[in-house]
Amino acid sequence: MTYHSDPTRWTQSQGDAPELLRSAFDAGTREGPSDFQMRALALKLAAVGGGAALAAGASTAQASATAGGGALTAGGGAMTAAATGGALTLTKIAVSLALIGAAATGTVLWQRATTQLPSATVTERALPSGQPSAAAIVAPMELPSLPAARPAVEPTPEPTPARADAVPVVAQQVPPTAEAVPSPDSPGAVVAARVVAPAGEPAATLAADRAPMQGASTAGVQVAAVARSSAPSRRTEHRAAETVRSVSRASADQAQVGETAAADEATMGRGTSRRQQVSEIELLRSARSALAARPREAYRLTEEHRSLYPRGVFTQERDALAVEALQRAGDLKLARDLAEAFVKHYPSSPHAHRFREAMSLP
Amino acid sequence: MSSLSPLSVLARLSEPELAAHEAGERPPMMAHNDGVPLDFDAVVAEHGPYIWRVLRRLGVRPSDVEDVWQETFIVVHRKLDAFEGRSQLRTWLSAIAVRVASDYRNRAHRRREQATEEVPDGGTAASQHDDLVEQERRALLDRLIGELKPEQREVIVLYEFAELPMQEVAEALGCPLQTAYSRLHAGRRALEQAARREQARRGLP
Repeated sequence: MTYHSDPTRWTQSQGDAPELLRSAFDAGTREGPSDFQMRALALKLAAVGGGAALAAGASTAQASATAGGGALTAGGGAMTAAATGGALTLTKIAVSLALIGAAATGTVLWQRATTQLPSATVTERALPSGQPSAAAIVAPMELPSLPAARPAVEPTPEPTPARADAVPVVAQQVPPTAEAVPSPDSPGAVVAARVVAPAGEPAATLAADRAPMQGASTAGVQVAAVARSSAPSRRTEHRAAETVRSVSRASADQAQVGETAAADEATMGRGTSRRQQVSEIELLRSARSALAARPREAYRLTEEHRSLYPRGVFTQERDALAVEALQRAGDLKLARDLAEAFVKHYPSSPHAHRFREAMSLP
Repeated sequence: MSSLSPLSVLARLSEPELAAHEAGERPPMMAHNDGVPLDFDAVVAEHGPYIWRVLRRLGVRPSDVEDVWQETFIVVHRKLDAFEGRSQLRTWLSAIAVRVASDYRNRAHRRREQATEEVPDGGTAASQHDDLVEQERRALLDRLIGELKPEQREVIVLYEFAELPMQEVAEALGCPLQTAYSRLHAGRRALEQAARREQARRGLP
């Protein structure tokens, strides 16, 4: 109902409004996103469920590694990666960056050691063992730019017996050469990643350590991959360990690449959150597309999302999806429990409303 | 294409409908607008630029507008199923944008950041002179509108720039129509005074 006719808009006629205001208003009406901008934005609203796009609000995403709890600690301070199972807030993209950085910076050596373990001590705690989900996690810390002029050094891991029954996993590694290992007091920048693996199969934990080498004239990227099984018995069995070590060769170009990569990551405060959301979205999209035919798989993916992005942007979507997947998988008890938790956690969510209705929840 | 499907709705689906749903087709019970199901992508395509402009005028900085825009559409996505078509879609979207922008301004305030006055980017080539003039005008607009009280600003933006009818402005803001009018008039007076002060400062008539 209208009680008055609406006054003429200033954007149409400002009467005797000051000229400055008039021109400002005119400029305001002309401002808008370009088609290109809109297309790019629409693309970012990648579909979590088919055509249903989900946007990525950067503000809520945790871009940096603010992991509390357990930590990956390396012997002699060689590696320190904050990582917890419960509160990991890490991004896949940094793994790519680390790997790209490794490839660009120098020689990459993959060393597979099924029973041999890499030499730095890696203590992994708070990983959800027995969890069927797998995770891809990266903890980007501050990354120093990589100094130039560095002779390539090949690591020589020493075989040590696997601590098969250890929870947490402890992998022993002795620094191959003093030169190749970051000095204990160097600002170690670590990227740790757990790589996705299906339930029952060993999941790999990647720890990429990017820190200045001793001697200040070194550059190196170390990626240590520690595979770990998710044994349902909750005994984390160490099955394989992989080490990727990359040491840059002396080259101004390569140093440049390293610096660029470091600068890249230095600006990740805002940028990462967007990139992370892409990963978040991808994960949820996979879950959504698996929902109909493979609800178990869909549920597993939501669990994976949970461990990867405990405080992600799409927690609500993920949790709703998990309930639905369980429902479809016939796990009605768990579905109901999760739905109850959901309703408690997001009381005003439209999903909560549906769950209440569908499951007669309070 | 299915959205996040409500369980209750799935439970109600007939076999053919369920099959269609599982084949990835949009379930026949998403939000409706005049009986026509609302497709989220279509909503984004049609109203995305509009929301972008509204957010800018509501004080979202150019460097943040993409993020806040996306944030807005996350909320839209979450709530689209619940949109019952009682109000115009644009009004409903505007209400969401106002809330998201308000949260944004509060965050920006907490960070003690200036929410206006960006250095215009771009070069200083003669061909870009017009752009610079335009950017200066927009910057002034941001500043003038930024000086308004939030409730006045919201009315001004939704009425003047979003071009909603006053009735819908009041609806979107959840205030009585008369209140919306008085905010509009008060906002206009405040803008005029601020613009005159600025003109005087610049030595303009």
